[in-house]
Amino acid sequence: MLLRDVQLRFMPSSDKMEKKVSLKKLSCFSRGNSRKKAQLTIFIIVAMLIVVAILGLIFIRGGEKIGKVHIEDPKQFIRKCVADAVEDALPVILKNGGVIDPENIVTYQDEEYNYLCYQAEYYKHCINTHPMLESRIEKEIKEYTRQAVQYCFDSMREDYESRGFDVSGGSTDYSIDLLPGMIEIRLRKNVEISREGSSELVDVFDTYVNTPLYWLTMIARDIINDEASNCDVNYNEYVLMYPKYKISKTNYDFSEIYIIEDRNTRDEFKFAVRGCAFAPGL
Amino acid sequence: MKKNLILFLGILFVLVFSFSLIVASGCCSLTNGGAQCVNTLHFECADGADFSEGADCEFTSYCQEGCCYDEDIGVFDSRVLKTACDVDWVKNPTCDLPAAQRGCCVLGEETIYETEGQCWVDTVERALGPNSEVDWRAVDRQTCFGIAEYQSRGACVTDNQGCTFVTESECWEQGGQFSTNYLCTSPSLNTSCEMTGETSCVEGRDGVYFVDSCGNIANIYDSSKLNDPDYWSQVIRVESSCGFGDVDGNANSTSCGNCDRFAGGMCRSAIENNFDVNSGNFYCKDLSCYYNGTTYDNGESWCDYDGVIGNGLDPAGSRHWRYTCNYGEIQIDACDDYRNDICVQNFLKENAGEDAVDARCVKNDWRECIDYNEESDADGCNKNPFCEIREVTIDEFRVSICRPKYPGGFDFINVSEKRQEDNEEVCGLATRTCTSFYVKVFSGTSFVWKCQVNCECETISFVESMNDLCIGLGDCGGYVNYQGNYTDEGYDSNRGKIGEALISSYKNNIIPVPGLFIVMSEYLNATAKGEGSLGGSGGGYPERNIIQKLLGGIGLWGDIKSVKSTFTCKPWQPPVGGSDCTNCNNDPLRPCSNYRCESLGAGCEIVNKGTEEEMCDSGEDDGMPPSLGPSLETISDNEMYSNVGENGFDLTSKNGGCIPAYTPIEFGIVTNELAQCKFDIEMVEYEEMDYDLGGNNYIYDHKTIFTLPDPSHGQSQGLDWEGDLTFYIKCRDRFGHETPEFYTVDMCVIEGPDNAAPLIRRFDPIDNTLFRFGTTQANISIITNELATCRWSFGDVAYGNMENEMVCADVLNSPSSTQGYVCTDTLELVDTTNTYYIRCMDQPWLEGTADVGDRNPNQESTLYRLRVPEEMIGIEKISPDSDFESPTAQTEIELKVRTINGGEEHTCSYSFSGYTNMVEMFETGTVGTHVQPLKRPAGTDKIYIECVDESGDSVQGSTEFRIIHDTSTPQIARVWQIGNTLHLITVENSECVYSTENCNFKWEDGTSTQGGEEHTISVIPGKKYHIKCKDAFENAPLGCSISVHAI
Repeated sequence: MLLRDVQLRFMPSSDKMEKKVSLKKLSCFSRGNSRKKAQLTIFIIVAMLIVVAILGLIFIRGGEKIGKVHIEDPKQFIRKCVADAVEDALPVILKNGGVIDPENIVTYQDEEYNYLCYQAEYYKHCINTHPMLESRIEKEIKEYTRQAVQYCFDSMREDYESRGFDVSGGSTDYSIDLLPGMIEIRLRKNVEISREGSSELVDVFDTYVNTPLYWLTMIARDIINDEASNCDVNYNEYVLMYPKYKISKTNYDFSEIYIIEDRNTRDEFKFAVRGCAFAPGL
Repeated sequence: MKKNLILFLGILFVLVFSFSLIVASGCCSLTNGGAQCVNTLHFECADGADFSEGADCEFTSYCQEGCCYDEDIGVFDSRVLKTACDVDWVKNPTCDLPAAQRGCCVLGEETIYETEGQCWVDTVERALGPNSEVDWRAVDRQTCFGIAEYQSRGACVTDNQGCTFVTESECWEQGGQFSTNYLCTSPSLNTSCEMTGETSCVEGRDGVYFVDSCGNIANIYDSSKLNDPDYWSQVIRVESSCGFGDVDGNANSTSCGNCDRFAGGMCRSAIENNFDVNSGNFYCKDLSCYYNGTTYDNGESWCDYDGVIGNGLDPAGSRHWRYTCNYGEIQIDACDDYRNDICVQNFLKENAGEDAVDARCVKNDWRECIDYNEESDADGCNKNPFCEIREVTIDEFRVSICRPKYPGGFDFINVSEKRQEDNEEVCGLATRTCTSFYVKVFSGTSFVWKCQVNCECETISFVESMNDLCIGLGDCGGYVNYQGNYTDEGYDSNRGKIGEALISSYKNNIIPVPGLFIVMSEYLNATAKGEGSLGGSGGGYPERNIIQKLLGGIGLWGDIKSVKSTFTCKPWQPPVGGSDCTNCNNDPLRPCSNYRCESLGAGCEIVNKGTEEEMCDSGEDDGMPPSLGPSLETISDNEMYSNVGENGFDLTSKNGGCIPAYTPIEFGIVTNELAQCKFDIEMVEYEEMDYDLGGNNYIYDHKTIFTLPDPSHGQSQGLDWEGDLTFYIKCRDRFGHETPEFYTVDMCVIEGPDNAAPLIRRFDPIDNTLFRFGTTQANISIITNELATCRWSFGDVAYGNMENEMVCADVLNSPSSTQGYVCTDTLELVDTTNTYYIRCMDQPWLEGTADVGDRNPNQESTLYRLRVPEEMIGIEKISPDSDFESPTAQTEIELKVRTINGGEEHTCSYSFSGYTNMVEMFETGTVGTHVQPLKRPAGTDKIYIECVDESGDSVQGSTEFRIIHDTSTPQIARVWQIGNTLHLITVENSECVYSTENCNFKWEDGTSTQGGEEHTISVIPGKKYHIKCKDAFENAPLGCSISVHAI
């Protein structure tokens, strides 16, 4: 009996990011010398299978009662699970100017805007506090979703183990790459699912999430560099050169609040800058 | 009247400010609030953060700003702290590096304005593949947009007569037959795709495009070509399509989709915008904006103002507004509040002949205009386009001030003491006294006083002229807020208040002048307008000439009298109350701010800050006047508060008695709410009180300093004052509630005949001043507590025997200085230490009278010394001055400078970049050694040093050295054996140990040799000796330095 016949249906993937799916087929039966002994063995095995099947049925029905869904395709399950986690991170990242937990903010109209370039003193240029913003965002997303990724694998393992499979996993190689139009999620982990001598190895869970974050970040970085170098941005130029994005700038309480909105997706990247602020009076 | 008495006697009221607690400030790498690199106090620095006491962040190693970059991906970030940069960093804050220059990256039909490195990544790694050619062009952002190119596209026909409109390479991938510049609907291709009336927007392009039945993009939407097979056959470029060059970019055209975002049209959904179009669902949406009757194209920006601008007439609370037409929406890009920015505008000629408006906010350099006055730099003022010289001339009275064209704004409520001081300093430039001079002339039957000079100063025109000057310095004087509400608390004059006609004209200044804007080019092509001078006769000394002229004609003090007309220019104050506060919230295109809000009323404040409900509203009015009490922390050293009660207190000497005359007294009161306080020596209404207690601001602590005159001087001038004095104080809160009763401060001056000689209060320059090396003359002035004449001599002799008479031109009741009466002279500096004996004699008005004997000369001389250095300050040594090794990447060094000669106070500064932007060394201030601890990376350092002494003499020097990062282990240069002694020579001073077992022994288990470069070991022939040596930096090999077989 093959593992494939019992439960799993590994769907062949057409995804070009998939590198390797190996299916290891192992035979289940061994041959004895004595016929009687063999018959006895077969009898015992059949009896055990019946018991296991009954117990399995009870267990499965019990699981269904609490709404547990069986994972049919571990690769797709992990991909979706991780992509969901990254998608959950995106609104936070967009709202906080590229970070999960902003440390230095200005509150304007009930919203907190993270300073990406800040100077507490008057008359001085702002200091770019978030250099290499693209890399920083990648790290932030990775850190924010690391637990969720682990949870995805844990969920999968629990599901399989509840159904009598053994699941073993290697180390996780997880990275986030912010690209034009998308976030590429590179996720590698050797996961071996086995039962009764048959096993299946899955190790590539790469996927992606569509988002305009890359371009929003690029524009934000341009603005920050202009603010840090020149104390200002040529706002008209930004308006005309980036028609796909609505760039709004609000002067509030010695700070500039920027919102860069993708006109199609309505995603908004928000951040604040405080630099070259001039005090009242001398 | 007592008021005349107090004016006559010249009680000097001087605002004082609390002395800030002296707490060490310095550079903090991270504050509790999360800010990086802030010059602040130590306790505001986060735990574990770096703090350099006395250091400016600009000059600390951990706050160095630079360019953080990753050249591999072409990313360069400006102004990043070294500690915050994980990649490469160079000390170039604005990333002025060749590789950081941005240009145009052409990616087929798309262009991106970025660095060449980014372009490489985008082209090779992301868009076109590893074999593609990187097309990066060094042009500006606007040009970049224009070079987005059509990549050759065409119809790609597949076997089943399907067709896609793609590039040639894409067609190859699909295995189709490619026809360049053909559309899929071309009859010659015989595809299944057909003409339709559908349209679409295309990413990266402005226009509306036809779409065929296969979903392919075709040519620009042109309803007249809906069924024209020719139009659906081949690609027709935008330039040859309908409506090209239309001044409105075909905005709102029902028939043509050749939109142009710069002219005003951009492809948008007709359904979403409720627009009827001949065919399809898209059209060129009008991106214009309509503002105050004017239409602005997309991307245009323009200025608007709250009222009249320039000539110092910008109303309080007003702001310069800049708007941008952002794809049909008006975007507010307000210039910095407090008029720290001004909005400048230009018209740009466009090809089509229409002018495009371009506006910018530029920094208002108003502070520089104020500074020119201190430096008397009229040329600088004339050359600065933000400044102008304004003059007031009334007879002989002339004031010339450099003032901003667009005055800066102040804050009004709960102003810090420092800000109060600054604001008063700015406004105070227009505080002047005009002295009119009268001459006694015979008029028929008797002598009468007749005004001869500056007579006009006694009229209201003096007040109005001065107020006009005053309002242009900042938010000063009697003026209006941006809603046209006038207040006159910003000035005082003994010549009355300005007239209704002028007030009315001020109120008109809230209406912007149509078509008036600040021309951008004026700020690009500023040239000198001529020469002038700053100052005028409104101060003290210049009047001396007038007096002398008059005296020259008349000869006696008794034949002239002077009358003072005063104008005090003070910070403008908002109207009392909060009835107008909500006016700030009414205009969404002119959002409210703290500055605008407070200008509308003293009771106005921003509420719900940071929320969506943030607005200007009236603060809570408790309906009660402020309650008053003594400011217990504010009292001069020799006085105290006594008999403190609900309605006042006494001010007495420490022993509870009267206070000696001419003693500076400091006292203050506190109010339980923000309030303005005034006082007088008569019981008059609040509005009639002459003196501000703690300035005219709404504050809690109200302080003043003054001196009491000698009663006998009043008596000798025929005035009746016994020496008791009461200050009557009233305060008013932000809502106009005044204290109903007077709060009184009682004091008395020790009475008696004037037997006291004048007191020299101050020398300028101060006693024992060191002048620059080689100085031979010094202009000095002294200040006496009472009107006096003064003399000096090189010997200590009686006043009458002193040979040198000082110039004491002040007149009674008119001290030149707030400190007292001024006498001046020029002294010869004949030696390195010059001692002068000075004595003064009071009551000069008694000279020539029978009472001349009542004058009191100093019985003892006051010593005054001026010095010149024997030799000029010099630098004897700077260290380090030679290369040295260090085991670490960062090396802590002590920069030491030794100075000699010059004065006693040597202050040294250092810099890594030259003799500008120098920072004072950490330990400096005296002759000898000056020390600055530094942490430096390996490499060559050149440090520039400048030391200055108290005379102003300075000397410069520099040192250059190399820090060599030494990580090498000591090398064995030579080994030899003589008898049973093994000799080793190491190339540097080292410590060596050895073992006879193997090389893996622990250092502490080894047997030590003597340290130094030469080492000896007693050996047993035949044994092998494993030796390891380490240098002073603990650099030791992992194994052995050498293993030697003894022979």
